[in-house]
Amino acid sequence: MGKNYLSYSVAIILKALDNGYQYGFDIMDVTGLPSGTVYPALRRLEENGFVLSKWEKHTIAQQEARPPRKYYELTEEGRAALAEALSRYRLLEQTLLPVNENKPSRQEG
Amino acid sequence: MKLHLRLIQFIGLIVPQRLRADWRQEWEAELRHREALLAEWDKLNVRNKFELLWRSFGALWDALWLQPRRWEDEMVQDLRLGVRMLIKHPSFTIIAVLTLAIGIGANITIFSVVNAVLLRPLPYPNAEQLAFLWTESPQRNIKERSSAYANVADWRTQSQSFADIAIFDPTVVPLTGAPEPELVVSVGVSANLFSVLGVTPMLGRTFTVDDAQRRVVVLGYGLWQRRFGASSNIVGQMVEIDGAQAQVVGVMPERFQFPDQAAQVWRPTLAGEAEKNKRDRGFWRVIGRLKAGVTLAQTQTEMNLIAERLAQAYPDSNKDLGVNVVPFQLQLTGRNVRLALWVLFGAVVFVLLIACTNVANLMLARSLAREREMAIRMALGAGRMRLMRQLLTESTLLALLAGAVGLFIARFGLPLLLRFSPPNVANLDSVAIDGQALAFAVVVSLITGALFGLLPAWKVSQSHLGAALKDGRSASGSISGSRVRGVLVVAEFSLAVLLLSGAGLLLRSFLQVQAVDPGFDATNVLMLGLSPMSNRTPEQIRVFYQQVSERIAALPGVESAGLINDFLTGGNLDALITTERDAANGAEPARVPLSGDGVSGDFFQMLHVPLRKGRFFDAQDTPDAPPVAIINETMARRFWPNEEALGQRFKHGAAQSAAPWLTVVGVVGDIRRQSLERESVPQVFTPHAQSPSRRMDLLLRTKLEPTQLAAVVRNEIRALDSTVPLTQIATLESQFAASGAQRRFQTWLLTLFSALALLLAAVGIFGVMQQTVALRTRELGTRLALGAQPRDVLRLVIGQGMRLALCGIGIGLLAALWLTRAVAGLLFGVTATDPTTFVAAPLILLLVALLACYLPARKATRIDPLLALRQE
Repeated sequence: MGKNYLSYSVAIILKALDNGYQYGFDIMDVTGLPSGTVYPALRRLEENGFVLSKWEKHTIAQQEARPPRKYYELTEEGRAALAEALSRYRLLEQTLLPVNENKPSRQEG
Repeated sequence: MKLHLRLIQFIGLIVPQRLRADWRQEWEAELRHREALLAEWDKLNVRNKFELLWRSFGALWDALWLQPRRWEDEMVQDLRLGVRMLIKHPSFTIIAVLTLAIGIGANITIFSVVNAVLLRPLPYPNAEQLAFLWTESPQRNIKERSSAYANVADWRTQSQSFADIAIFDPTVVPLTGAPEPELVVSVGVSANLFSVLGVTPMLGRTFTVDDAQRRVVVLGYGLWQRRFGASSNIVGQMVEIDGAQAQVVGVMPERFQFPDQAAQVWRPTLAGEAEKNKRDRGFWRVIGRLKAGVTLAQTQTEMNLIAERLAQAYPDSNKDLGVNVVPFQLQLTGRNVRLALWVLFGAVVFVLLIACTNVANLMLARSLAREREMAIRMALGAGRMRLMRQLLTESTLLALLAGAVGLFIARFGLPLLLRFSPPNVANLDSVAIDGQALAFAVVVSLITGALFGLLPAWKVSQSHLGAALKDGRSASGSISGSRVRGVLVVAEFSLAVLLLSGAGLLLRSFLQVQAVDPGFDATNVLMLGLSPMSNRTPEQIRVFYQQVSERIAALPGVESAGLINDFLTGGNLDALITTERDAANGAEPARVPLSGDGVSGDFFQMLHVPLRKGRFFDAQDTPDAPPVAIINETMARRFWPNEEALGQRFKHGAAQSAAPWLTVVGVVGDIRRQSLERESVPQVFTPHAQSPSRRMDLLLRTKLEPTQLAAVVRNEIRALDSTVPLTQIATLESQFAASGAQRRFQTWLLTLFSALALLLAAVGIFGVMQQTVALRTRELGTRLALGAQPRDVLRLVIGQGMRLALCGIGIGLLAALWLTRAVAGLLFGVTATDPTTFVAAPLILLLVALLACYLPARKATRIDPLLALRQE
């Protein structure tokens, strides 16, 4: 995957991240993409420096009696790539993904 | 545990270990979070359960996508570890790299030669379609004879296999005029020769059909450079050939050498009227271009049919004659050179195999020493595959390193090899370490690495974790390890005995050839060819040569001088001789291979050829005296086996031919003029005065170093006649040595390679015995403590080593008996199953093995029982 060329599905994932959907499963929900697409895309994006991954707070995880979840956020580069992708896929800009209010607590676990 | 979580656990197994924990956590957290959410909304229904399961199944793609990272990371790790291991054990690395480098270097060197001489296509378009056509006479064991014009014409019209057929006839002609007359090889060619070959001239044009009547020539690149200063307006100028003017119409490019590099002038030629119907005895050589898609076998079959038809139509001339189709490349290289090169190539491959075996042995020994390391790594979670890959990475590294050193060896070995190579091998001048040789080096290195790396890697995969951990030197691993090493030693000895017998056969042949008596004394003899202008009368020529031999013989430093038509001639393979008795009985003339030469001066005395009977030629053999001949012993035996040859009369050709009857006045010893390896044929010498010919070889024996006289001799001849073209002047020994150069070359190379094999095999068995003794220290110590004598221990250890050696030698001998048939074509005076060789080669190997086993065995006798037992 070239740094400057993002496929449509990857662009949608970036857009979802931008809109505040930062967990893998949430992205799947909001984009309708299958896990087999979303996760490899996230790994590639991370490899290319477009997203960063972090673990959520331990305390939240403990409440639900499960391990901490991993969330992803856009880097500056990722934002730039998204802007470029939006200019390429103009339909994407009009696709109004809902904005997620439940952002994860930004703290290392 | 719920199904979807279990699935994640399971899929997680294939995630690279480094990432596994994180990966599992991410998926598990996500799934359980979702589960919790769903549980809040609703009790999980089937649909939701399925959806969760489906999502966790998607993790498989995620896991698969992560696979390349495992590769990258671990490969880098392997490499780093490999480099570290090689640096940490410098002596192992150096020995292994050098061993392999010798093998790889030898392979690259010989490959470069094989590639240039045998594999690289000739500089003609679709050169594989070009083939020579020879008249053959299987009954008289003649395979390649030149052909008669009428037969070739029939081949050309009747054959469907050839797109076209051209004829040519090389001769030596004097190139006269400024700056100095010289003799060059000129090839008379049919106008279509160049189009059959598919070549175009560098300057000007080649010939058209109309040129046959004109005096035009095409020049070779070398001659054009040397004699005409590479003048670009040479086309259209006149050159003087044998006193007559000829116009240059073209110059061929540098790489054009046809039929060989000696040819420098091509002129159109046309068969004379008398020749057009001639089927008996022709002098044409023939080359054809096959039509696209026609195979050589098809062509040969077709030509056989045509030859049969011709034999039926013209039984007088064509009975028993066949056509032999020989591919151009094979013709150019010669079957012998080709065979020799493939044999040498086979030999270096064997040397490399032995080197591989040795290094595999070293690696095995080391991997046994590393068993504990491997066991610990395995206990910590490294898979067998992983360890095998680690070992293979190490061996590949070693092999590539060795490949680099091998290239270096070849870089210096190749020029050395070429310096000692025979002079007459085509394309040898274009041998170089080029891209193809580099590619070959890389491929050979990689294969080598796999060859010697696989076995130790496999051993590791077989080793027992627990046993190795318990004890630094696991008993089971070592014993089965030494069994494998034993097998390797056996293999090594088999290969070595194979090489040694091959080399032995060649060496014996070489000695046999050296022992052949050439029948003359070539030391301090100079030779050069001369050919007076064609406008001289026979009488002028006779006088000229008489003066030459007298004046040269009178030069200070010259002992004696003599003349002969063509010293190095092959003679006529199929000559006719009629004896007086046969003529009287009306018998057919005898067909024999024969060389007939005019000689003058003290030819026989000068060469120290012994006179068996009768007399040498002398002043009484004038042109007007009765024609006489001196014959060699072979001739005397062939025609007058049980009677006195002196005084007998015979003639060349059939009884009714115009040739004069010759009376035998002397019988001389046989001389092998062309090569020591050719059986002497019947030879007829006539006095030059009675059979004058233009072109003669002058031979002179000097009292000093012969080359010192070269200039003096040239000047003396120039003083007699400045227009006489001369060939290069050279010692007879050097001319003669050229014919033996190939044998010397192949013999010494193969001997060198087998010596390498011997050395490597010795090192191999030494290493194994050394380690065996080390492993059995305790046992041997116990034996000594219980009263075994040092002699018993010696016998035990040596016995074990010799069993391996004997086993290998036995297998190798069987293989050798079968394989040395391949070199039969290179042998002289020995058979492929020469008993001397097949006794000597194993004996040498046994001796070497004994020596290699003795050193470790002696060490074993010095084991201190107390120390050995305390090792517990």
